[in-house]
Amino acid sequence: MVTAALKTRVEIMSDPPKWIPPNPQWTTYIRAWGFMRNPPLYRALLNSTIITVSHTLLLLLGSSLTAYVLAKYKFRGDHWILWWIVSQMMIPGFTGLIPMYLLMAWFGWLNTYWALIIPGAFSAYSIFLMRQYMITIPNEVLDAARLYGCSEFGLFWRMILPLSKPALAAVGLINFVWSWNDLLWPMLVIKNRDLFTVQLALGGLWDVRSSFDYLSLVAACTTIATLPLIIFTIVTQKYLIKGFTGLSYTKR
Amino acid sequence: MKRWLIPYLFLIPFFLDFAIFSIYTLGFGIYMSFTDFNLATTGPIANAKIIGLANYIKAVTDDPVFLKSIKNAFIYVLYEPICNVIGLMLALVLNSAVKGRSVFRTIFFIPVVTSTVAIAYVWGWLYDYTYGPLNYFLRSLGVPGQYWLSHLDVIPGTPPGTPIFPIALLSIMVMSTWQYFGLNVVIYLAALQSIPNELHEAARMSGANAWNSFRHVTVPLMKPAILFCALTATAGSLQVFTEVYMLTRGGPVDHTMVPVLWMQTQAFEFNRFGYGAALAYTFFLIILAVSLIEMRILRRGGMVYY
Repeated sequence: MVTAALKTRVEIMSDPPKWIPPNPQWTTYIRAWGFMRNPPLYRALLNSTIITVSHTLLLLLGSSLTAYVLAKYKFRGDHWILWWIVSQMMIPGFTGLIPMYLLMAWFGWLNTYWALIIPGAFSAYSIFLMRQYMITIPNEVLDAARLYGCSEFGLFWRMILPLSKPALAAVGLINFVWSWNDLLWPMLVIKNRDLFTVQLALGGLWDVRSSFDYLSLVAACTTIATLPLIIFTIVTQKYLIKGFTGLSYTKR
Repeated sequence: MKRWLIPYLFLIPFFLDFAIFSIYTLGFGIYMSFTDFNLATTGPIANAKIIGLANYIKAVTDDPVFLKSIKNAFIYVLYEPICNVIGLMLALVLNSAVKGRSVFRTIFFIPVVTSTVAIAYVWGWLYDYTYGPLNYFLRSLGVPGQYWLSHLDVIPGTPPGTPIFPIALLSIMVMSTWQYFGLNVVIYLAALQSIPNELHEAARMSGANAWNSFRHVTVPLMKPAILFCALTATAGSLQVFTEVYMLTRGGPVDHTMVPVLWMQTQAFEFNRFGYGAALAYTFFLIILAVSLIEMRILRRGGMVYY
């Protein structure tokens, strides 16, 4: 089924449609790069890459720091913070859309990269997952490091982070995929076509897709746009799948 | 002296972010839902009047599209059990096969991470009335082609008011099932593989056949996975947006409208920010109620979550 869906994007549309194109026109892929004019395909890909990578890195940094504090330190109010994070997980995302949009307007972040990178940098799910993982890191390791004169921040940077690589990978990958595929938030926030993400740029082709001449070009564009993420998935699949399944049961 | 300060220090970024993006937006959103804030008519929010619960009352009593969208959301959620069952069955099959398990797992998983926009293109073309392969296939069998995505849920000739299943919604549900069954496969496969073989062997030695072994060994041990899939899928599916936006924009004539799309239309196309916020919180309460009910039902079935 998957391969059928992918193949149908390649063929020149003929009527009646065939599954395997008799003479595949590979030049369609070359032409597809120039087909999208506003924004051009490479620009959309560039935007998406910058935004997604920055957002994921920021999220990893922020969430792991917060998770570390919640996992390894006891202090007044830690229960409240944890409770607040867990309840954030229950609140669906769309409730914050309108106020968040207004906030972006007041910050002057509309139509910039910032609106897509900064909000959501501390995802409740990510914090919670990482905390669950960090709890399993034995405290003796940290105490030993302290004896050797490691600073508190050094504890985090040099000991916890390297030890949390599986959790970091899982959380990072899931958020990377989510951020790349997101349509709703970028659609609200970005009106400047130069800054469109890949999803937005693809969406702009919708009206053209029924036109006979352009169908194959649209299909080729779609394939090109999807390919990075497919390659990404195949390459990182071990960690990616571990991330998704790790969500489904608590630590044994 | 410095030691107790450390946690708070490290939490400063978190505090900042949550104070601004979480608490403030929540509070401001709730405040906004009590006003008649409308970018077009009232201008900046300072001019908006507080009108109490009027937005909420209107949402529940005077907005047929909103109510229809909620009904559609709950119909849409029904694709999840089917998706789960398919995923479970495929996971069972893959669990017993030795060769090619990884390959199939990857293939099934790819649609899960593929952008819904791209998938909507493919399925939109599939469902197309004139050029779509689905109708072509049907016509070659002598069955007339259908409007899969623009079918008004009324069969011409029947008296108005006869309840007909919304075909367009069904079409979208099929697409979502195709996209996400791989997620279930992956999760259930991992859960299945974590069941030690000794348990199955012990059951077999006690005289259990395959079905009993499945029922009494496999299923109880997979309860956390099943529970997780059920809960997150429900809440997530109710918030469907991209699928509907790409395929039908909520059409035809708002027949496939879903809550998040309606909320976005109200707020960003009609500029009714206050009303949109009220819609959001109303739907949030609905989702909350549904999730709590679901957790209660599943917990009574013996599943423990946290």
